[in-house]
Amino acid sequence: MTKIALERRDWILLGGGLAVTAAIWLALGQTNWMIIHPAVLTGYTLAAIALSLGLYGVRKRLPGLPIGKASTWLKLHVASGLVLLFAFWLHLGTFWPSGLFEQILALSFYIAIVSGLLGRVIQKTLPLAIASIGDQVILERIPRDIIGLRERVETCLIDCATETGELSLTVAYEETLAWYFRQPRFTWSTLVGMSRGRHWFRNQATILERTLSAKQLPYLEQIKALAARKHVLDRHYALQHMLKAWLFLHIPSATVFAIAAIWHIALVHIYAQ
Amino acid sequence: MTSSPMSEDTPDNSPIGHRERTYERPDFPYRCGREKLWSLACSRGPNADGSCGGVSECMPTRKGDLWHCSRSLAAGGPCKHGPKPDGSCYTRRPPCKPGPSLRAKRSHVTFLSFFISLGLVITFFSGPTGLLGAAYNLASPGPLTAAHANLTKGNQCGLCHVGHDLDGAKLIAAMTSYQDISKQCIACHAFNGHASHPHNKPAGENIAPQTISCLGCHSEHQGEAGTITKIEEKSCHLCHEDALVFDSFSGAGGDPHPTFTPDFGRLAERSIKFDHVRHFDRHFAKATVKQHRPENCSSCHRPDSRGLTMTSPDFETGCAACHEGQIKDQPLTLLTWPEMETVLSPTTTVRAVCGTSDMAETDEFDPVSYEIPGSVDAFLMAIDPDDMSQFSAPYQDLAQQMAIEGIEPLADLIVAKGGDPSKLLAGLSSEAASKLACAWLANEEYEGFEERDGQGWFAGPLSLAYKPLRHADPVVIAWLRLALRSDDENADALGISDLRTELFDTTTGPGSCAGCHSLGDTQSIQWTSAAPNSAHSYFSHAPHLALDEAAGRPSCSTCHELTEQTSGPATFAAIDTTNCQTCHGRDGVGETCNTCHLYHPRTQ
Repeated sequence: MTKIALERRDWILLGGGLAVTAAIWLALGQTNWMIIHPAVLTGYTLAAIALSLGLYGVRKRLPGLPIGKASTWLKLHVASGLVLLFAFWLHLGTFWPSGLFEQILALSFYIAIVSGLLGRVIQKTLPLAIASIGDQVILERIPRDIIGLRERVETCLIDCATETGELSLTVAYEETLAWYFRQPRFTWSTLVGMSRGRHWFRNQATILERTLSAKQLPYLEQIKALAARKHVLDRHYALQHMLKAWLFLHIPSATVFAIAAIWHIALVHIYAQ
Repeated sequence: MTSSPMSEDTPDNSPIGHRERTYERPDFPYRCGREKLWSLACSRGPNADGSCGGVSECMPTRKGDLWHCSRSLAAGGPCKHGPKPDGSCYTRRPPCKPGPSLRAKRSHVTFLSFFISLGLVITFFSGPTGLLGAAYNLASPGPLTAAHANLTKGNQCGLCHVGHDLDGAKLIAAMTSYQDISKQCIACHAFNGHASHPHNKPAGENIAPQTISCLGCHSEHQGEAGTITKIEEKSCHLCHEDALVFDSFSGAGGDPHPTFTPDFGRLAERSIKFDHVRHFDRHFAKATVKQHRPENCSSCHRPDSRGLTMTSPDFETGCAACHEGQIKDQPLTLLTWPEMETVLSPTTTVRAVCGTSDMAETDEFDPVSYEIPGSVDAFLMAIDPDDMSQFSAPYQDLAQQMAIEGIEPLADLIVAKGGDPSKLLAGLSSEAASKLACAWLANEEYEGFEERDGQGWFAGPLSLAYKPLRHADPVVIAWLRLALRSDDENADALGISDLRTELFDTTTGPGSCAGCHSLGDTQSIQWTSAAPNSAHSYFSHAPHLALDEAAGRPSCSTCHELTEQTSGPATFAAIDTTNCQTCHGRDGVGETCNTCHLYHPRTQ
C-alpha cells in the first residue's frame, strides 16, 4: 500500500510539473515576444527546459540533500525530455535544419533524446527480465562468480582424470569448453532473449557424450550443470551491462548538445544584429 | 565430487563488510587488471592513482620488534609464512595493469565529447570564414534564397549581420545582447507604411503599441528554392487568434470564414461612376452611338499584366467619343464682378495704369453689374456673398491691385488658402487680368478676351473663367484638389461648402468631373478606376476568368451582378463568401489566409 501511495504522489508531482510547464508556455504565448521574436522566445524556453534536464545529473551527485526522491527527479527528467522534443520542433519549425552547425546540433539533440527514451525503455523492461532469471546477482561480482565456476569445472576435470585415468574430457575442455567458461559469451544474443550460449554448449556436450567413456559421463553432467549456471551469469551480465551502457550514448550526446546549444545562442546574439 | 555443483550455485550476495569480503565500488575509477582479463582479482585492488595495488597481498604491520601479516579476512586472513624479516610481504606477484571502471569509461567518453565539441567550435569558427572556408561556414544556418545569395557573394555575411565583422570586446558585448536584424532588412526593403508596425500601419490606427520583427514571419537561409516571402498560417494567428480563426473557409467542420463587408464588390461606389445599365439600355440603344456598344464585359475590361485586377478603358478609348465636348463646355468661374453699393476712388497709380482720369466719380452710382459673387471668389476673399456692404470694398481693392499688378493679387489670395498659383492660374495673362480690372473699376463691362479657340482662360463682361482644354485638365484638377484640401472644420463660414457644391456639381461643375469621378471615403477624388482589391487583400482575376471560360460559364457576371438602383447609377451587388466557397474550402483549393490576404499593404 505504501508503495502504491508513493507512486500516486509521484505521478501527481509529475502531472503538476507538466501543468506548470504548460502554464508557463501559455503565458509566454500571450506576450508580444511571440510576435516580435518567436524564435528567441521558443529558443530560450528550450534552453530553460534543457537546463532543468541537466539538473537531474546534479541531483544524482548530491544524494544527501533533501531535495526530493531520485525516482521523482527521474520522472520529471523523462517528462521534461518529451516536452523538450516538442519545444525543439516548435523552435525549429521543421524536423531537420539546413545549416551544417545546426545539423550537428540537431543530430546531437536527437541522439540524446532517442538514447534517453531508449534508456527509459531499458529501465522499465530489463529489471523485469533480470528478476525473471531468478537469482539476484551483482554486476560487479560476476567476474569473480565466473572465475569460481571455472575453478569448479577444472576441479571436476582433475577429479575425472584422477579417478578414471582418462584425459579425453580434459582435452575436449581445453579445446572447446574452456572458451565458454573464460568470460561472458553470446552477450548480444542473450540480450535479445535468445539462448545461443545454451544451445552452443548443448551441442558441444552432445558431441562429447558420443566419444566419452561411461565413467566420464557423470563428470560431463556436472560440467553441464555448471554451464547452466554460467548461462544465468551471462544473462545477468548482458542485461545489467545494458542497464548502464545506454548512458554511453545519452550523456556524451547531451554534452555535445549543451556545448553546441550554448554556442548557438551566442551565434544568434551575434548574428541577430 | 560429493555434491551437485548446483547446490553451491547460490550467488554471492553476502552482506558487504570490509572484513569478510572485498567491496566492489562501481564509482571507483579503476578496476583490477587481472579481473579485466577475467582472472581472479587481487583483494587489495588498484591504488587510487591507478597503479596496481596487488603486487603484495598485504602491507605487514609492526608490533614491537615483530612484523605481522595484515592480509584481510576476505583474502584468507594472515598467511602462514608471515612477513619477511625486512617487513615486506612474503607473497609478491607481478603487477597488473588496472583499467578504468565502467563509470570512469563513461566519464572519459563524456569529457572527450566535451573537449572535441569545444575544440571544433573554437577551431571551425576562428577567423572570418572558419577553417573550412566560406563554403562550409558553420555560422551559416543554411544557404540563402536566390535573391539574397546574389547580394552576399564572396561571403559578405556582414551585409545583413553586423555582428559578423565584430571582434574583441564588441563581439563579447554582442553575445550578451540581442538586437533585431529587422533594421538591416528595412535598409533595402521599403514598405507602404511604417516598417515595424503591424501591417505597416501608422501608430494609433487601431494598432497595439508594439513593433513587429521581420523574423516573426520571414525565415531566411532556407536554400535557393526557399520561399522567404511565404507566410505561414500560424504567423497570422499569433495576433488574429480570436475573430479571424475559423475551422475552414466553407465552414465544414466548424466556423466558416467571416462574411465580407456589406459593400464588398459594389464597385461603382468607390470607382468611376459608370452606370452600366443606363449605358447599355438607354445610350447605346440610340442609333447615333450604337456603333460604340461593347460586345461583352471583356470588350472593355481585361486583366492587368499581373492578372490581378481588371483594367478599364481610358477616357480617350472608352468615353471621349461621347463625353469630350461635355467636359470642354463646363467652365470654372474664377471671378464674378458683383453689384456694388458704392465705388471707391481709384488711386493715382490705378488711374495712370488704366489710362483714364474720370473713373466712376459720380455722386449717383449706377452699378454695371447686378450679379452676386461667385463661390470661388467668395472663398478666396473670405466674404459673405449675400452681404453687399461686406464685399464691395474687398472686390474694389482686388480690382485696383489687379489693375496694377495683374494676376499677382489673385496669386496672393490663392497662396493664403494653401494653393499653388502656378497650377491654379496656369495660362492666365497678367495683362488681360489688368485690363479686366480697369474696366470693372471704371464700372464698365469688359469687352472680353478668350484664348485657344474658346478654351482655357476667358473673360466675359463681368466674369473671369476657365474652360477645360481637355479631359484631365490640370487647372481644373488643381482647383478641385484645393477645394478638398481646405479646412473642413469651418467649411460653411469660409465658403468652402459652397465652393465644393459648385465645383463638384455632377452637371454644371467645371468639366463635369464629378459626373464620373466620385469622392472617396477620405475626401479624395477617384481619378482612376479604383482597383477592387484593398491594400491587404487581393483577388487574381485572370485564373478565375480562365476557369470560368474553360467551364463555359459567363465569366464576370458569375460574381458581379448588376443591380439597378432606385436613385443614382446602377451598381453591382455585393459579393459574399458563398461565391468563393464553391471552390475554396478544406477539400477544395487553398483556403489559407495568404491565399487572399497580404500582410504588407499593396503598393499600387
